[in-house]
Amino acid sequence: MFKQNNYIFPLLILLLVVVLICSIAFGAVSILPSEMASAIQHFLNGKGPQGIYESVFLQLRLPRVLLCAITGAVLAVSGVLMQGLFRNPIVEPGLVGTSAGAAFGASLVFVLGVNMSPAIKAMTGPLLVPLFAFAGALLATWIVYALSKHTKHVSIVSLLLVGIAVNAIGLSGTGFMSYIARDPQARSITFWNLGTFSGASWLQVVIVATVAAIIFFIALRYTKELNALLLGEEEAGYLGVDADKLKRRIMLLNTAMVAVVTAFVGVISFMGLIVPHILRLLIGSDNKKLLPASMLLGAALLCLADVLARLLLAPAEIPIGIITSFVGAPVFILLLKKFNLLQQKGGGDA
Amino acid sequence: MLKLEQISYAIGNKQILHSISAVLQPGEVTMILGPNGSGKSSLLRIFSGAVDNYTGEVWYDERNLRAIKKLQLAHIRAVMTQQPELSFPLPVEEVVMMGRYPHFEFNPSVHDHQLCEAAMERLKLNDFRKRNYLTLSGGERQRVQFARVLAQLGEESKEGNRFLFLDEPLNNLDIRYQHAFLKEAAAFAAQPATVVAVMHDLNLALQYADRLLFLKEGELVAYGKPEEIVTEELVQEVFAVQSHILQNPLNGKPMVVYK
Repeated sequence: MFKQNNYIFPLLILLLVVVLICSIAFGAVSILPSEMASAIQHFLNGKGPQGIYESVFLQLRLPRVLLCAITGAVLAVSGVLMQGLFRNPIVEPGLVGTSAGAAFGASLVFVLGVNMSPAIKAMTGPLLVPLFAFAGALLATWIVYALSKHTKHVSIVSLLLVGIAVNAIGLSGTGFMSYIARDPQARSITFWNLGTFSGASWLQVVIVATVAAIIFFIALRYTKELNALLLGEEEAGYLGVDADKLKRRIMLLNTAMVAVVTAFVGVISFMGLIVPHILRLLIGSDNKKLLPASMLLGAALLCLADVLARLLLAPAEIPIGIITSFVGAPVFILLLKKFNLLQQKGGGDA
Repeated sequence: MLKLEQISYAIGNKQILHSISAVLQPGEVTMILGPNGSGKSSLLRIFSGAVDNYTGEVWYDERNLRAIKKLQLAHIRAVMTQQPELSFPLPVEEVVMMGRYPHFEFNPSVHDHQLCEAAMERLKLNDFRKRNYLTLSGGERQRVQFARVLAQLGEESKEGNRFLFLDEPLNNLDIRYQHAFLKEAAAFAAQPATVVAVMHDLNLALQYADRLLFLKEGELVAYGKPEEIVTEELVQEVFAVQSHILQNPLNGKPMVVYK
């Protein structure tokens, strides 16, 4: 079943590079690779962008594409971490309340933000919505975690069940906010819940990239422990893995990075689910390969979805969450069918 | 040497083990026998380090189990549990490599690879190495798990400070591999190392164990060399089954037939 997959990483890198170039090139304004090159050259020489194309490239397209790529990588890695931790292939980053909490936090700002003191608004500037979303994400995840804790042990089943309940509360809170909102505010909430990269800025890119880089670096150090956990918690313990400590740390890493990206771009579903699945079929479930491969494929697929979001109804833009769900869900069902068939075949000779 | 000092253990109001004491020597295979629910697996999980709310003390040579860090323990002690599952597909060689996880930081060394190769060789898994573990039969999985714990404990050391614990290791194995497993376990004990196995088959235990430990309702009923302690009365007392003890004509060991 497992072939030598030495070619998979070069292929994924190639895919990512091609998708990145395409997703910079296409949009309301097309940008040629030669213009990208000269804009970068001008930037490196300390000159400002020359002409409209170069400034679209530097100020709009490039930060957007980078933010999109990092977000895709974060969501996919988060899927790998959560699925490994829960030892369950249908777990998604949003499951433990992170997305629902973020959405509720953001909707609070959209609806009640008009009444906030100007001092707060002046201090936070463009970070007002992200800050509330981040706080909401952390709070919701912390509630899920605290409620599913028995003494020092965190049971996976109760984590899932409490996660469902807290998600429902977050959704109803967001729903209530849209209900009492005026029209434009309600639209903001709707858009935010479907994810968008249209507001991407270099500030966001820097923040998200820093957080993602640190967390990826740490997460890569836990791939061995996550593999051991596949045997079960007791067996992992016999291999020297402190399962409770591992669960706490992975939850913390995962929540921090998902909360940060969700705070900036809104809720994007299905990425965390399908990317690890596609890769499991291609290269198996060894987390040492799965995690870095997910970064690459997650980045490439989300950029691809963003290109579609920009082009399908151009010049209007479709919220990217609609694309990821609309394309992602059928792909996921297909994968699931295939995955089941494989398992049935496998179990036959037992 | 593994020393158990008055181990007692309760879950809620139910007393699982009553003050079990025994000294298990390196170079020997000790097999734990007893009826269902007699506390065999609980005892194994306690001295393996998976349970910490027991009373009494467990000593690994001069070191108290409570004072040994999990990762340190994983260097000297390996445990094969009953039918460990695997939540996602992995190739056989990676499952075996898990045994080396406690020994390397990020990438396995050449030495780690050599030990896995040797373990797969011993369990005749060479043809399986690339197969998906989840597609293997129950018996094949047992062999992979056995290779994994052998790889974990590494190569021979004269100090006798390694401990191999097996919980009903013969589940799903055919007769040939039952004997092959127990011969491997005996060979490992001879290196020397302390080997303990929870068993169901009294005749296999009589054939391969250096010492037997009988539990009944959480109490230690008998502990010693098979030929010295196993009598028809003991079988009656522990298992409530009438039996007769013969000599196995092929190897001269005692064997039991039941009424």
